[in-house]
Amino acid sequence: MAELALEVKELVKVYDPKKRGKHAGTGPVRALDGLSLEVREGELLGVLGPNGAGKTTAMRTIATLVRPTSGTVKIAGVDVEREPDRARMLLGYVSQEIALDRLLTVREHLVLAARLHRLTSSEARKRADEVLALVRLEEKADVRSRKLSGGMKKRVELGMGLVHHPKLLVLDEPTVGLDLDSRRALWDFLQGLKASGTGVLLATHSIEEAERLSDKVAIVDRGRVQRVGAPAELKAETKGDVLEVVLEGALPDDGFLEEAKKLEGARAVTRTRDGFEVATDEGARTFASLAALLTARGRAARSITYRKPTLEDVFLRVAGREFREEPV
Amino acid sequence: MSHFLSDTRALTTRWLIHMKRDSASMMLGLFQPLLWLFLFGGLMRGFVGQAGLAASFGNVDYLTFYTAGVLAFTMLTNAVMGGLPIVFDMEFGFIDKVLSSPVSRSSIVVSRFVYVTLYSLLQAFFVLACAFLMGARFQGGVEWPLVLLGIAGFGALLAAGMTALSLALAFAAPSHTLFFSVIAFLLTPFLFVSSAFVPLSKLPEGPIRFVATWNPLTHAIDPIRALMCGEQAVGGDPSYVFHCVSLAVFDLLAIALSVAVIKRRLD
Repeated sequence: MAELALEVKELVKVYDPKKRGKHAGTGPVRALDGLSLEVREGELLGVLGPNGAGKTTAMRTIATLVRPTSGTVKIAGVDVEREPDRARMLLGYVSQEIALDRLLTVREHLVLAARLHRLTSSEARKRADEVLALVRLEEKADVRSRKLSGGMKKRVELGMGLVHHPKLLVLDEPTVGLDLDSRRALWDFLQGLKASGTGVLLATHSIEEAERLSDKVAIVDRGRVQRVGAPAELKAETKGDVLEVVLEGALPDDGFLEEAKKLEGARAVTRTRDGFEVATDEGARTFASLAALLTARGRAARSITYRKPTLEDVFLRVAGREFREEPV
Repeated sequence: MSHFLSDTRALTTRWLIHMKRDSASMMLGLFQPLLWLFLFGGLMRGFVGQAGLAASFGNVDYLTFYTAGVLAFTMLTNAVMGGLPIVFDMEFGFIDKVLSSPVSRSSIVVSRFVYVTLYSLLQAFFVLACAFLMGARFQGGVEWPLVLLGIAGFGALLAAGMTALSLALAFAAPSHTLFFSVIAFLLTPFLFVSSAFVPLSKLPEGPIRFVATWNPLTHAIDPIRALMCGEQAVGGDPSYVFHCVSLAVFDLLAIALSVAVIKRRLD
């Protein structure tokens, strides 16, 4: 079995309201509340969670930018608290925001990142050339960063995170703000990176991204991992079915959904574009009572379909509140 | 230690690239002290002569007297602005790339100091050349290479502590607006409550002279002035060692504060 690229145990971070900062005056905030994670070499762990779940705090703590209140982080077996410099050598971090130096060229960024990780000047230049090829920016090598497109800038960021050959790459929402082409290119790139043996920790709020890339998904909410497993496992573990109901005409505003929640076996009801969905443990009985409800209300359904739970259903059940694709 | 040196070199390279690429700001910075020299220096030079005040300045040429002040103040200005790129690195998140790497934390401070000192020396020698063209002359009887060395040495001692304080402010201030406000607020009193324009002994007695005596700027201006103009311009024995030690103590305190603030920022 592959070595652990990352081992996080019982991580707790409490922001003290007495200190200044965005949480000032709001009482202690437990941003992380006993978060534990593992990433093996060559594995990609997707961390999925709603806004405010603690994803970014977790990423920043693992990247040694935030000191935890308690708990341990080990990068390729090296404790970040005990040997921070050694741990930082084994770690690549790409933050959510693109933050490049507008006066530096692509190559200068890569050389700087390599030098910050203690490679000699000549090694740094050699690695920069390698990484330029890896992120396909050879032609832009001597262009200043402010003249690059968003997708190219993100690739420079990735290159800076990889130039020192880390065992673990930490990516915080890497595709936010990227267009579709850049997003797909990044996904392909990450698939290739896994094959090279690098462990990847990817925070995202995109279910599609998590499902497409992750070997395992950790669903994080309220500062801890609520569920972890391969996407297929998580879906299989989630019992029950979903009934997708497409109505003739608009969904009435007369408490119809409230009544649907009381259907036999129904666990949750969510509104969709042209109807609603019922998550249920007992598909057949729910179906029968749904048909009765529709008849009683004189409503006709265009279609009623059974389907197995998607990752989004798993997520909704675990995180327990509506999931928003875009940050507010 | 070997890491510290190569880390500092790596970070300083970035600042030197800035100097090369942002040439417009660099040129403006180079010419800015000349405004002090031409406008205020020119004005006062005539006034001192006409009003028969030469004795107050140890009977040295006011322009040369004042050039020492402009030199030290120029280095001070560069140093207090030394934290600015770090303020922007923090606002835009570039600092995260630095802090998530094993790069030595003190090399962040030292790289800014190296850059500030290099740029300040460039500026200082440019100012000196211009002052020379305006008629200022070294008149202290000290060999000129020693004068230049003194300017560089005391300038660097002043810049070290001031850069450290600027970085402490950069790490502590939540935004660049506060950073600018604090510096704009403090810079003028720093200049006027010092020996930049008149000798310490001619400042009004009481709080002003007291603060000026403790002002690190005074401790850089006076030895530089004594080297350029002679002892009579600072009212007697220049006590180079005393100024040197004062600045060194100031530097140590400022660097200690700066490192404490950077460490706190990591929590």
